Amino acid sequence: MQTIEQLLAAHPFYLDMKPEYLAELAACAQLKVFKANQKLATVDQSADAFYVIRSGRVAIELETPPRGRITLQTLSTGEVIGWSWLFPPYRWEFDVRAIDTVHTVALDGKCLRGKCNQNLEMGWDLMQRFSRIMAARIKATRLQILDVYRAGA
Amino acid sequence: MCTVQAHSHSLVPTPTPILRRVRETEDVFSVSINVGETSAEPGQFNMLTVFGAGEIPISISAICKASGETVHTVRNVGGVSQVMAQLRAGDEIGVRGPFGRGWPIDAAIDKNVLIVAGGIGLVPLRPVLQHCLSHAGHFRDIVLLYGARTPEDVLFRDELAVWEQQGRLKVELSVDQCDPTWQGNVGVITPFIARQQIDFDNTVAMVCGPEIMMRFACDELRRQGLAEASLYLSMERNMKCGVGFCGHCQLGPHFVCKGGPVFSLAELSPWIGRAEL
Repeated sequence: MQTIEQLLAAHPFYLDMKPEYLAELAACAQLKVFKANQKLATVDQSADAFYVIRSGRVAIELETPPRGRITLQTLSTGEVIGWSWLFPPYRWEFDVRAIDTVHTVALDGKCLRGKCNQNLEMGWDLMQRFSRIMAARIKATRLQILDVYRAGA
Repeated sequence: MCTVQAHSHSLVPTPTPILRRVRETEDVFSVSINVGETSAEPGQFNMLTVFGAGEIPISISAICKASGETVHTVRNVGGVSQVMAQLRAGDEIGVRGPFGRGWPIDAAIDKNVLIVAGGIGLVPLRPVLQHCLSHAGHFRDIVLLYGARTPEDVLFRDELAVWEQQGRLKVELSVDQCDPTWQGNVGVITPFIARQQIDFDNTVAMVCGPEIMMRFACDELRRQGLAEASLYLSMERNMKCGVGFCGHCQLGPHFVCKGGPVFSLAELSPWIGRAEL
């Protein structure tokens, strides 16, 4: 059976990360499995973790009365979900729901913030990785709101 | 019976009866015609005339060489297509072509075939899928990444499901908008490129969709290491004559109707994304 450190090392988010950083992060991590329809995150609740998706799919959702629940994006194997743990007030801004059985490595946000404050180089490495994810998601969202498949678009 | 010559390089439409008309989605329909012996290749298009309404370029969405039957899939968005949408089996349309340069299927032999389609852009790629799947031994992995506006706008859904169930095709489908009953992927299709576990050094990519979507797809494919010469796009411009005479479809030094509509990115990269081209 693989250790959490090995699982993290094999995940694209941690590609080429220094082994000593992986060891530090693994100390803040635990394996978590979510069943279909189970929530990984609830809007306005404390964002005390982020999740590395090992397998399965999740939906980022928003309740939008009176339209009901809207799926904004789905994410799957090889991706990460959640950066609200990085910034005060550390609360989730969207709901995240498992579409099917989802295997994750959950990283404790408070533990990570502490380690990043102690090791700024590691913090910078982690921040760069999250920034790349954020930039890619912003780019995708911009394309999505262009509604390019609309008739006459 | 119409001959190849009667359809090729001709500026005169040949009246041809519609054999069948199929509604694909709310605003997309297909018409089947039989032009006799056909030289049509995946990625080519015909100029279709609705008599009294006008002529439009329409991609070929299926080719049956044995019977000479071709299928054209049309989105009902303009004056001519709106009138065409009212036609039924037995009604005549005018046919010119097939025109243009299609997909370089031979360049993909012994390689992975990665097809990236957006919206109605799946239409000219459907004959590629049909060809690759019927000659599956000639190709490595065959992958379709397909983005649609909503689940209701997904084209050829049953056909794709059958191919996927047969294990011959990997399909990643994603929609931009959906209601809570949709259990599939949501989001633009281009991020799915990076998630593919394929050897991009041995891959030919074929991309068709809205131009902005193709630009994002090209960015991602290049980031994965795909060479520009292995990346092909089908361009859409104002095709009129179909044979490179009139110049309406000029894109830089290219006439899209004749030199394209399929180009490699190596050919197009100086021109794609340029304003006013």
